[in-house]
Amino acid sequence: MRVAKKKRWIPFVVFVVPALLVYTYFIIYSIGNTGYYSLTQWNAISEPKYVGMKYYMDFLKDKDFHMVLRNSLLNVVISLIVQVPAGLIGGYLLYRTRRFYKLYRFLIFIPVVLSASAVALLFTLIFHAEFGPVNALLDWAGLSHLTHSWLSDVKVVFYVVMIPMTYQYIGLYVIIQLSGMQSISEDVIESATIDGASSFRIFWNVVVPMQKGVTMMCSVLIISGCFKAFEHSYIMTWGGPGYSSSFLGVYMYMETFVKGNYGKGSAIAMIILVGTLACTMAVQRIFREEE
Amino acid sequence: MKMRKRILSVLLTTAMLGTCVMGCSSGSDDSGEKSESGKRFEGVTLRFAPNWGTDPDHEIGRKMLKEFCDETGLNIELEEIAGDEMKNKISVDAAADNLPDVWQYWPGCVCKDLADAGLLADCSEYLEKSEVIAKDHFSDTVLAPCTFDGELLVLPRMGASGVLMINTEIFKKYELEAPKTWDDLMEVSKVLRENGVTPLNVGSKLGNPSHFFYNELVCQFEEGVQDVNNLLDSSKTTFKTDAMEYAANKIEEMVKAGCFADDVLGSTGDWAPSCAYYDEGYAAMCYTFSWQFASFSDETLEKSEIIKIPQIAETDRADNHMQGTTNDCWCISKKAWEDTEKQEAITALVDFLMWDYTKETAQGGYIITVDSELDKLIDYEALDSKLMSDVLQWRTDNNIEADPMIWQSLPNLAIQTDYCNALDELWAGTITGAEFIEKCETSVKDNL
Repeated sequence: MRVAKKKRWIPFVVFVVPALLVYTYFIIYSIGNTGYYSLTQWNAISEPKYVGMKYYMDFLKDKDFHMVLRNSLLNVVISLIVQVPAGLIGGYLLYRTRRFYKLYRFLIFIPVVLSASAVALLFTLIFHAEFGPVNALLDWAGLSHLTHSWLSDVKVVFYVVMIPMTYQYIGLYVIIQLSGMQSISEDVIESATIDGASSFRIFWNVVVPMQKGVTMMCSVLIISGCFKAFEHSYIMTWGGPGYSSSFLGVYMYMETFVKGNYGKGSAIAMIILVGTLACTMAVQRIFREEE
Repeated sequence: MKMRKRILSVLLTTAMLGTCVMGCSSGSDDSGEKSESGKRFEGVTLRFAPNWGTDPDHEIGRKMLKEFCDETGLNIELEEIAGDEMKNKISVDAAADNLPDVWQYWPGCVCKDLADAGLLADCSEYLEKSEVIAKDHFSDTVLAPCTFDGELLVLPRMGASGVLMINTEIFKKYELEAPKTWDDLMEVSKVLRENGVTPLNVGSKLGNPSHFFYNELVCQFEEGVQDVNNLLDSSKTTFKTDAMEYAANKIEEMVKAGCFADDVLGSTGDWAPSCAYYDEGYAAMCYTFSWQFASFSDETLEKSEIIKIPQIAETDRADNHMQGTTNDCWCISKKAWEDTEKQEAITALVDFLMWDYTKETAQGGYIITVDSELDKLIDYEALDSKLMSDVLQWRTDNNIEADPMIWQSLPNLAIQTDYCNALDELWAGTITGAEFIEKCETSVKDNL
């Protein structure tokens, strides 16, 4: 009996323990370590010096941090408003398309597989004030008063940096939504059609409610993506001018690797973690309440 | 059947362990004996991290390094990093106690944390062992940013020179004279702006190349030069000086007058874009540094003329000064240097870098050597780069002195980064000169 019990433990030890150890070391231990370093002043070279909650308290009065946090939260809000509906609508249009379905799907998904650096560079050229096509197009259309120094004007640079991010990731949510829609039983759609429901009615009254789980997952992905957003902002503007187009990810990178302030960088990392968890939980709650 | 399985598992386990042991062992021959080839450093491996990208002199470096390795038998693990990313690499490597054996870096505050933590070898020991390089090859000014608490901890790699050029074709077209004073510069800029030409190519992306231009203005005062030198001493570090404030206000004035490109970050931020901007004819004047000289087309250079930095009315200095200093350096890891098996090889590698490689690239006109002995061997009339030739000749003819650099003299990286970020904002016109000074001063208070 005891031997049989022991044997039952063997697969657990062989298959679960190594993965658990790896996960504990690389995730749990790393988070704990980051939490510890966030309470220290450390340049990664000398010994860390304990400073308690100093960095967290400093954030309360740090204007740069306020700007970066505002940018990140605004990024979450705008992305949720734009990308979730766009994913749903795009996915539904693809779902209902019969001709050239594969071509459309390919075209929509292609930006997702492009390197973020390439996309950011491409958009840097598109928004180039002197020879970028955006200003040229505005000039050509007689809207010269709308031309801008897109990457230097602090009033618009944040939104300009958001454009390639949206362009690159929207395809991902379209495809996720499409996969969800493809699992909806065809009988449901057929019944609605026979009952005389229009395409819009089917979308609104059948597809959207049935896609709630998928939509929630997309929202969670968007939130976590926005909090740790880095590549587009860093490549297009290095988060500047100043920190006007920085997100928390860029701010963390600048503090940690450029300034060599690993303690403060760790504190920002903890804020990213807590912020992402809090927003994710809030979104889950909203969806559950609706259910 | 069971027996077979057991034998198979024993064999597989043995093979796996054997592979692990082989994989973990170093590829080098540690016996210390010379190989049959009789090469000096056969079996020795060094990690070398140069700041190389796509510039022509970096290509020369790769070729020469390969020849050096073939000749000496030294095995080099090359860890190339381009631009400012080197700071990130070294900071992460230092944190992981995994610094390269030799690497290219920037002297002054960028090296300070490494120096304070005792991670850099004492370069005087290298100089004692070196067959070709000696301390008296370098002036005190050159060695100053390489010295920490009286110890020479990094080796000067190259000097740099700023240059201000005008596009004579554009100036001729609008019947303009090369500006001699700051007022002339503002007048010229006004005319150029009215005709849709950007006056000056200086933009700002994390302080490049704006920090040099700001520095030029600060150093128009004797007091400004002293202010920059004071930055090195953290007890005296401050941006609240007359010269610094004056320069910040002048930049604010220039931004408002449209002296720079509209898109200072997107169009002219960083070195390559700002030079391309001038090279393409968008700007009438170009301020840049020697490492960019190879990027200009012959056509552009033919119509360019080197001029002095226009003098502000309140200056108390003669006009024979410009930015130019020890720009970067070679670092040797203390841990590697203390490894007796590596010391000889490191000495040979650094000798090669500081003599052979520097000579080749200096003769090519890609860098300016700061080694006075090497300097005697360079035929300046036969440099491959015409612009470098012209700039060096111009400096000699006009007896140009090098000014100290704010960026390099700041006490730590945090202040340096905040300074550069604030310059971006000043150039973008989002903060005033006074706010720029306030931002820098706050950073000094927070980070010292």
